[in-house]
Amino acid sequence: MAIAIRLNFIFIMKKILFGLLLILISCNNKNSTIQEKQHIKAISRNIDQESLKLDAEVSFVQLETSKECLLGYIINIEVTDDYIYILDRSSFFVFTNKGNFIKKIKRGKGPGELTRAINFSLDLARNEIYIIEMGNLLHIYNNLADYKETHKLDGSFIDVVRVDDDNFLLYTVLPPKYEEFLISVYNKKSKNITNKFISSKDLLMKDLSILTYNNFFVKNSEIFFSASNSRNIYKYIGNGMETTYSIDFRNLEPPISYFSMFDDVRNFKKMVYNDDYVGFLNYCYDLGKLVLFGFKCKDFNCGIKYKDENIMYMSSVSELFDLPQTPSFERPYNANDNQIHFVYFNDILLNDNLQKKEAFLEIGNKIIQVNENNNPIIVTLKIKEK
Amino acid sequence: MKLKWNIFYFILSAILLSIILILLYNFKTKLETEFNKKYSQIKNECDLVQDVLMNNLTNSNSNIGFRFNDDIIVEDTACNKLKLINIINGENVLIYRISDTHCSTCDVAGIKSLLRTNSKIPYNKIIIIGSFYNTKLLNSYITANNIKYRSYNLKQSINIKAEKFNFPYFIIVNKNLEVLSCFFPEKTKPYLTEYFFSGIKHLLNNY
Repeated sequence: MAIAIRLNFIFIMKKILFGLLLILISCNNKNSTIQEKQHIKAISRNIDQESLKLDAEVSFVQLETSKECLLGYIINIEVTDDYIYILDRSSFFVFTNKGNFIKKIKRGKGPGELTRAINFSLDLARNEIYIIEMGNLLHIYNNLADYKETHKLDGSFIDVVRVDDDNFLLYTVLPPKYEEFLISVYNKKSKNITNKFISSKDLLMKDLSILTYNNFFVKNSEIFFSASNSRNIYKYIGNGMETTYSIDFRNLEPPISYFSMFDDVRNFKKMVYNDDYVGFLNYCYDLGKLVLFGFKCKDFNCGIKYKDENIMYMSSVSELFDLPQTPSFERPYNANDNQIHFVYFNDILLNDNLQKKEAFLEIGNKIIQVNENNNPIIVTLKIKEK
Repeated sequence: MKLKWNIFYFILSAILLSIILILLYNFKTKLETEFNKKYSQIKNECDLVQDVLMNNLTNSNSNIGFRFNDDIIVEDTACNKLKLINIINGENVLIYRISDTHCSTCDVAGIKSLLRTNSKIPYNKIIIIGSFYNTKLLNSYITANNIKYRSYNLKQSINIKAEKFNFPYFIIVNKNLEVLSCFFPEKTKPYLTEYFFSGIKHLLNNY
């Protein structure tokens, strides 16, 4: 009996010690990434849009127009301190930060040549460009688009971000019946997919998604991820993705039964807009003091959330930054740090001004001449700290 | 001794029979696989043709009778701005709509159909209207695809239903810019486009 009590005592003590040890470890781990997800509630009524307006410094870059660098339908852009990178339906272009054309990647099937590139991303630390071709090829180039290597991927992907020396995160383009997980980890050394995260089974809009091109957002070495069919914003934590924000659009959120009514994305997109609900999430950019979310509904096309609040104020990009209300300013093409970038497709020469060949675009106190049949203008807004 | 031979023959026959049965079974499986493959291929073909026809019966017909605005402006290859109604010049014309947002191989397939058609559509009654951000891109496109027809770039949006699909289409418009016929070509089924051409030539030859 005495032995049994002694053994029991030792067992309980061991458990207590183990528990204390765990608490100590978790308290000492300063880099712990485990945090509570933040529920964000959208406010769409009685908002004073004037008070939401953000101060931003505007800059324009007219991209050079020559036979070698005529840009067509632009898929994605990246703007760095030195270069402007542009992927259009025909090729990948590099311009200087002043807009002078440097290089374009040759079309073809040779090493590093492109036939059907669908998206790209940058790694500023490694000075590398990653281009996804046809969903299953990952080309790696240096920052001047000189070819390094190609990896054949098992699957079909629309977006990529480099995690560390060996690993990339890839966002799938396939519907759930072909690929259950949104994120795959690709290991460069083993040339294999080594892990998969975020099961689409848990998503209400699992069968309804659209192609979005800036799903990963890197801020202070942390990787955030948004998907068109999820209301969550995730953060990469090494062995998985944790939910950082969970958005509730409240009165603009379709009822759960609504999603099951559609098996056709085009129809859903049309109906969800007509019924005045928010459908897909287009982007999420962490801009320092605030987070900018992009979506589409009748009255709003974006929402902002200040870091210390769990409220998202519904607005429109044009109103928020005092921009002309034209299609080019409906959504930013990309963002980094506290800057957001738009591609201005000479809207001012369309509609009422079809007969004109030139006009002036004025934003804030900056002005630029817009010439017909010139390449687009990159408009960058640098958000000022209040 | 005879019994032993009988047993030997029996075993040998059984083995041979088994081998034959295995071979037959394999042959049957192979035939079945090939049949299923061919069947699904033919079924897919039929489904695709049905989709094209359904799409054309519903979506194409819904454009008939639509009238374009008189003030639609297009740019010619020299970047001159012209009114669409002035280009039509009082005749029925076949317009082929392409765009740099369409599937590029689908656009090219329609151009190839136009170039190869046996339907003798008058050359001057075919117009290509592209929507390219830059008219210089249309010029490159014309050179790359060896297009010999009159080509124009449209920069404004038009509210005809056919535009919603972001897919190439053919329309015939009369002198009042009214749509008389519409067809969405399918790149893998160019013979359907040829049927369309043979069905509309009377609208172009006699007007």
